[in-house]
Amino acid sequence: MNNLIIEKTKSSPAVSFNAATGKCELSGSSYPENANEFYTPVFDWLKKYMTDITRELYFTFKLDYLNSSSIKFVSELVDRIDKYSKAGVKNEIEWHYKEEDEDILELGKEFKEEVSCKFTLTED
Amino acid sequence: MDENFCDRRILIVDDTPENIDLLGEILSCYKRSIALNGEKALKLASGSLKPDLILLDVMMPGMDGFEVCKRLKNNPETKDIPVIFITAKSEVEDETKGLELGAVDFIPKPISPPVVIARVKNHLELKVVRQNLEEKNKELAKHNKYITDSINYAKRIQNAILPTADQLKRIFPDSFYLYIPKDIVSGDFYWFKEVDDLKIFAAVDCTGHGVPGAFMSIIGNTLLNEIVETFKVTDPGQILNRLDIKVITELQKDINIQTYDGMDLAIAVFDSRKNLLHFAGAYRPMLYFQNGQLFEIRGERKSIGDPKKEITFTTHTVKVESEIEVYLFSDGFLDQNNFEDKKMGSKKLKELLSGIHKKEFSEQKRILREEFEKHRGEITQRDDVLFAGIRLRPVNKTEIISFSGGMSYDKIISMLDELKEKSQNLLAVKQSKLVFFCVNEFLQNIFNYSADIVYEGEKQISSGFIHAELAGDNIEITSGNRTSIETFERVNQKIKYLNSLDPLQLKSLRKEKIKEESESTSKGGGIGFLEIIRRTNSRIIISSENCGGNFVTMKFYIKIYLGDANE
Repeated sequence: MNNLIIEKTKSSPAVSFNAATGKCELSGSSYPENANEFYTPVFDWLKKYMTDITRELYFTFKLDYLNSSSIKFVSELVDRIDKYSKAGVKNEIEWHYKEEDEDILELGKEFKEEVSCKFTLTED
Repeated sequence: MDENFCDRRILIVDDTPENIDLLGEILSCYKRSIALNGEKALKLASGSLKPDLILLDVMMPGMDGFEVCKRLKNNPETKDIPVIFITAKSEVEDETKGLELGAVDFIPKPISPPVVIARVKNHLELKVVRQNLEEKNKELAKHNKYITDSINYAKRIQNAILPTADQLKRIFPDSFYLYIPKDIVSGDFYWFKEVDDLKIFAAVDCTGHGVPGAFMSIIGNTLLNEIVETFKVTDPGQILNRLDIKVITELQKDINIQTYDGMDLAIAVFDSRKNLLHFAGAYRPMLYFQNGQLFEIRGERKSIGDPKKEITFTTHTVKVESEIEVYLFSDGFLDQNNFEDKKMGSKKLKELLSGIHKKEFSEQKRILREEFEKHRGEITQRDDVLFAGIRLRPVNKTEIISFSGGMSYDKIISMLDELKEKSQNLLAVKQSKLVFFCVNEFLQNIFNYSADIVYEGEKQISSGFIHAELAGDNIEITSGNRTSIETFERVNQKIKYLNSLDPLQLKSLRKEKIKEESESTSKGGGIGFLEIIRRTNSRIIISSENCGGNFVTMKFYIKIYLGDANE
């Protein structure tokens, strides 16, 4: 299975998903003009990983801005990882936020409440 | 580029026939035109066999190459033909001069045939590319204009749907909104309605901006109208629950299809009868200041139109005990980044609002806009911006204007002036004028026409009072006189009798009274308001109460309907 690498742009985050190690990172700002288009390969990769590789995922979010549609996609992403955890896989999610970035911290707290897998909030 | 350029025409300009022959031979694969002087060259360049490229000698008797080039570039017909200078003069300043005049290249003498061939080919290719680009640009500009025109028209429709600032002021006299769409049309919109004693305001942020956002805003606006107007739902939590179901069903959402289109919104409902402010939010908070302290009520962590989250929207209630400033907004203001990619953020917003919340709203709007622009700087606006502020005051807890003593006409008028001034805080100027005229007329009626009825048999009355209270958009007037219960009963009966009359009978009775009045000098509180019931659309309700002893008061309420402002 291939890694998924998408370069960071002004309005979309860098995607770096490693199929061999299960280390996945999403970093940057997310407000693409068409969020659906941007996140489709992300979800496709994840789905394939979960059915083909079936190992743990170590997910790192280092987002500094998400527009309202992106929040929905990221929320869905967290949700999928959590469901995958419930199937018995020990996944880990790390949510990074910058000092004083209340909004990103709040969003992280919200996700943390909703999931049952390991979820850590890390201040950068 | 594999294109064969043999059908292209080269114009060779040189005063020396040998040079022309040489160049002609080198470029034998092209069609060629020849000119031995500048004048001929200009003529051929704009003639029917228009060249695709010109090789131009600089040193020529009469008009030199530079002058020819200058004229070619000044003529719209020939300005796009690339010019290559061929000359023995190869000093830098000559090249510079030639290039400044618009030449594309320089080929030094003595000529090297491969160089000439290569450069000519290059420039012919470049010319084609340039032409293509120009055509594409024109096409793009055309398409762009077409799309922009279309969106601009859509903007007219969106603007027509959005209520105006004047309409907002009628419902919330002390309010403002800042509305900065990212594109021509916007996914943010504001919505408000008045239903009986309830005043409702919503700040809505649809997913996406621009055209997709605008489409969604139309759906949102329509659904809100339907829920509140048709289904009479006025509890904000319930409004959001209904809206959620509606958006999910209207957009025919399938839980298996990944679409996250919907809206985030904050909705506040002010109950002016109970002095309560109700709030519900879908991913949007409400900020408010009460007694100088800032409070935040967070909305539910769910967007409208998200079929996956089974969260019910709940209503939060705040008692409006003193004046409060309420702020509802989309995330566009907070999320704007600056050149360091730092967001405005809620912390900064709260600090900002804490400093300015007591200022006039027009001033606050100016400051917020300035702060936004200052923060944004040269950075592109990220999202649509909507920011609204509403100031609410508890009603009933009113300022009482009263006076005691004889009810002289002058005193009533001065009281009315005070009333008018105070009512301006509460009502838009237009309404306050209407109230003023209405009350004025009303009091004149009391003053002029009813004295003989009230004081029938008791002509020694020397004191009276009028209380006028501002209660929401009601003006409550209490008129009292030192009088007996028996007299009051008689007055009441008289009121009932007058109320039972039809307008014609009332009119003739009124004429009679005016006639009587001109012969009478007694003055006091009374029942002349009955005339107003028939003459304006403002509702006047009378109730009476006995304040004990022989002191009797009568209360009149004047309800001003906003819809009557033009009458």
